[in-house]
Amino acid sequence: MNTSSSSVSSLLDRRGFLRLGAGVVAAASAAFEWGCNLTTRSCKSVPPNPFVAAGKPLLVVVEGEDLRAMLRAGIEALGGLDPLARLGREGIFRGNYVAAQPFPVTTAPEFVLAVAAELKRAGLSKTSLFDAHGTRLGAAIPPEHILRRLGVLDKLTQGGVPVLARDFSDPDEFVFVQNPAWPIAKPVAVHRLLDAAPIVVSLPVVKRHVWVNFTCALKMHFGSVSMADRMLVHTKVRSGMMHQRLVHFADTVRPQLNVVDARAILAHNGPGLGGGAEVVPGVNKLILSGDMVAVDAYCARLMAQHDETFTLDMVAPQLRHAADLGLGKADLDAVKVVEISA
Amino acid sequence: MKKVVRPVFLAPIWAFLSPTKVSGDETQQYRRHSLLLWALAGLSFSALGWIAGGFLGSWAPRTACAVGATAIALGLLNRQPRIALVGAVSAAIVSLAAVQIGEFFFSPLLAWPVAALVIGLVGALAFRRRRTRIAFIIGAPLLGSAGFLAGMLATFLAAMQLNDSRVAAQTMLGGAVGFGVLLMTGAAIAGRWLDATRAAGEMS
Repeated sequence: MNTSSSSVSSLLDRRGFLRLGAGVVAAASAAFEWGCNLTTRSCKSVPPNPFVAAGKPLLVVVEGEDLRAMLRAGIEALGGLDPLARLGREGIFRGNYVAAQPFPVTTAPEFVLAVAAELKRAGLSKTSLFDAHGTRLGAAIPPEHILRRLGVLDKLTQGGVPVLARDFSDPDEFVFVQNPAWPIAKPVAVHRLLDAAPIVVSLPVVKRHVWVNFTCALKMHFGSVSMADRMLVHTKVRSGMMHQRLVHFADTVRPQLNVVDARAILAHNGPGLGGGAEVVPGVNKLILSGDMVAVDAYCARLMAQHDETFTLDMVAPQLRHAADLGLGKADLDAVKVVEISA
Repeated sequence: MKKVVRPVFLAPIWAFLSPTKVSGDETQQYRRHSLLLWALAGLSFSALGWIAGGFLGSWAPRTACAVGATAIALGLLNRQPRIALVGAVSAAIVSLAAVQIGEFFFSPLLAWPVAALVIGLVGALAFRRRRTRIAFIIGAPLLGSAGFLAGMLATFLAAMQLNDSRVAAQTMLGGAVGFGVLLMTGAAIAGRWLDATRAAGEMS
């Protein structure tokens, strides 16, 4: 008894407590360092692009006015979605929901539902929309606030596509991944759900971007990583690091299929309305491919046709970097482009 | 010149942080370590509370555990286990409620100043003099909030310098640490300077 109370009192005296505190700090620091290092893993491994023809990535461009007919014709030209169905029974959609402004600033809900219906026809039992553009740390900006204001949340839920709106600040939501080939040797925190998903289908829109000039299949993956990563990149805009980092963000997700809704595009400025940004209607195209670099290379040309202030040089650094990392083909001569009408 | 000016400039600050007492014909520096001890206890308890809360869930349990752990540190260093227990439980419950309310009004971050106020109210019982109690009740939410913001800012600036999202992802942990450090340092200073006859850390 005496021994016990003396050991307790020695623990609680100043010297004992100082030692204990120092030990606790050392243990916590070690645990933190250990946790940081050990939880950094390689980027997820994905099977090679299933949509190829004669060894070249296939890129299908469908022109038309009936969304569902265009989509169906595009999927048929792509060779069907069976290769996706072989990867798993559930798929996750990634849309672009950077602001509470309608298409073409954000992915249209009817477009998501149309692609979901095609995936269901192909044999997938469930598709969900993932988005992370908010945090529970602010009452005005919960993760679902943009989706709710756009009506996407209600429309998709009613249409049988659950919405997974996640907190972009919660460290528990992420896994740290890194590719040794990245010139910036720092890990990226990618959302756990996207890292684990066997099938990710990306649904980009085509827009100009105030800092990186262009946003489509690559840049949209800013929404796939933590707010910490996004903020760190935004603090170094002038260094040109953003062009590289957006490619790394896309590398952490590597969607198996990209279906671009280019029925209209956002020209002159972006990624939201205002600041001279202008919606160009009547483009009336859908672009489908398993190669997100080819998609961006094609859509950049599309932008150049409709925006006289845009040139292909503006997007060349990110496309070159993405091609160097093996994310796809930046040279459209190395891609089989199929253009059809529906 | 610098060597002379710097000590003259820093001397009052150092004297404030490390009060001395005159004992006989020699001046002894004492209680110097206590300030460090209290700050260190605030740092380690709040950090461990935050990390432990992560096993229970997200923002709400993390916040509750961090503020509860800080209250425990305060009570234990005051040799008041009951105050430690009451402070921890009440701070945790109130912070949980504040997080819930904050999700609808302004921000769950409101939980930090609210929890600091609760710690101030309960922790004040450990002081004997009324002025110390009042000062601690008023100062606790201010110190807690300032520490939380400073901790978050420091962590994010460090992350920017290191360009490392692993560090940036711990911004809230930095805030919790700042909360614990400043609150406990404030308690130590209040005890030393305002509760002189029954100084903090020397209670029985």
